Amino acid sequence: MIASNAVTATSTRARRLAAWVVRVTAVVVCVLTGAAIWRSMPGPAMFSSVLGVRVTTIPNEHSQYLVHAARESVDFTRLGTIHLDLGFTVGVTLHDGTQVGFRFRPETADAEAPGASKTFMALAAGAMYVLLHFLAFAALLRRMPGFQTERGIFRYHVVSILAVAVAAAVLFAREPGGVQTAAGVTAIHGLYSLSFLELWSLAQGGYSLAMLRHLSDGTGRADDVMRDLGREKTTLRLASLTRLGILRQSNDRVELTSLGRLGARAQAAVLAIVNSRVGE
Amino acid sequence: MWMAAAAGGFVAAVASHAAWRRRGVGGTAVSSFATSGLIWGAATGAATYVVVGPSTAAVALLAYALVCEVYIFLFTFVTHSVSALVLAALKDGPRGVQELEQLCNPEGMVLKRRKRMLETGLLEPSLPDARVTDRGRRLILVFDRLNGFFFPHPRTR
Repeated sequence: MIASNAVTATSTRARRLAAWVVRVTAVVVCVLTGAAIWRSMPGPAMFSSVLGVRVTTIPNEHSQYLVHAARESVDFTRLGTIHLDLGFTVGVTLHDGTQVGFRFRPETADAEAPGASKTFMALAAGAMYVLLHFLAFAALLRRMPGFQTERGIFRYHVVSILAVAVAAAVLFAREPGGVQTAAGVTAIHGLYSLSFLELWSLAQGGYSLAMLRHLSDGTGRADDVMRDLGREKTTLRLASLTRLGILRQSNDRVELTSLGRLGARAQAAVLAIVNSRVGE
Repeated sequence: MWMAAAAGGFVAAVASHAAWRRRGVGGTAVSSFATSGLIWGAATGAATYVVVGPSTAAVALLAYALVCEVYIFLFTFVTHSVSALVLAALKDGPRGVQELEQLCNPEGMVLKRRKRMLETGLLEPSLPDARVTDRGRRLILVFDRLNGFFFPHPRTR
C-alpha cells in the first residue's frame, strides 16, 4: 500500500514536471518565434542584419534610418531596389514595396548623439532640482505649520511640478527631441512627488498602524477603541468627500455626484483588472 | 518612440499582472505587480536602447516607472481605503448616513485589518488579544521615525 502510494506520488511528480517542461518550452518557442518575426520586419534590426553594418532610426523622422558606415561599404541591393541615390542619402524600395531612406554617419557616434547629451544633462538638472526641493523641505520647511497640512504639502509639490513642466517645455520646445527631454524631466519630478506624498501620508499613521500601536502598548483590548476609531474615520471621510464634490448629502441621505459616479466606475474597472474586491 | 515604449511596457505589465492575479499565485497585489513591472520595465528599457538609443531608453523608463507608480497607488487606494468603501456602498444608489456607516462596518474593518496583519506576520495569535511580533515592532519604529521627520512638532488638526 505504502509502496503503491510512493509510486503514485512519483508518477504524479513526473507528470507535473513534464507538464511544466512542455509549458516552458511552449513559451520559449513562442518568444523565439516572435523575436524572429520581429527581426524579419523592416526596421533597424533587420537592416543591420542584412547590410552587415549598424543601422539606427532617426528620432522624429518616419521611415528614415542612419547607417553608421560609409556609403561605399554598403550594398543596398540586398534590401531591395535603389530608387534614389544622392550620395549623402539613398532611397530604397524594399521587396514588400515599402520605401525607406538612408543617410550616412561613418563615425561611431549613434543616431541620437547630438540630442542625447543634452537630454542627459537636462535629466541630471531635473534630478538636482528635485534633490534641492527635498533638501529645502528637510532643512527648513517641515518645521513650518503650513507644510504639516495636507493642503500645504500638496501645493508645495503641485506648484513645483507645474513650474518644472512649463520651464522644460519652454526651454526644450525648439530642440530636436525636445518633447522627450521635457517629458523625462517632468517624470523625474512626478516620481519624486508621488513617492514623497505617499510616505508623508503613511507617516500620519493609518488605521492598521493605530491598531499595532494600541496592541503594542498593551493598554487593553484594541477592538473597542478601533471600532470607535473606524466610525470616526467613516464620518470624517464622508465630510471630506462631500467637500471634494464626490458626494452630496441632503435630508440625511448620501448619494454620489456625477464626479462620484465617474470615480466609482473607474474604481470598479481597476478592481476588475486586479481581480480584487474593496476591503481585500 | 519613448511614449509608445512606455505605454506598451505598461499595458504588458498590467495585462500580465491581471493574468497573474487570476491564476491565484501567492503574494499580495503590490508584490506581484512589482515583479511583473520589473520584468516588463527591463524589457522596455532594453528594447528602446537597442532600437533607438540610451537617452530615449532613459526617458521611456522614467515615464514607465511613473505610470506604474500611479497604478500601484490607484489599486492600493481602491482596495484598502475608507473612501473606496464609501464609493462602493453608494454605487447602486443613495443611502442614509447611518446605513452607510453601518455598511462601512467598523467591526468588519477591525477584523479585516487584524486578519491581514496576522497573515503578514505583524501580529501573532495570543490571548486575550493578538500580540505584536518583532516585525510589527520594527514597523512601528520605522513609522515613528517617518512621523518624526515629516512632523517634527506636534500638529494641531
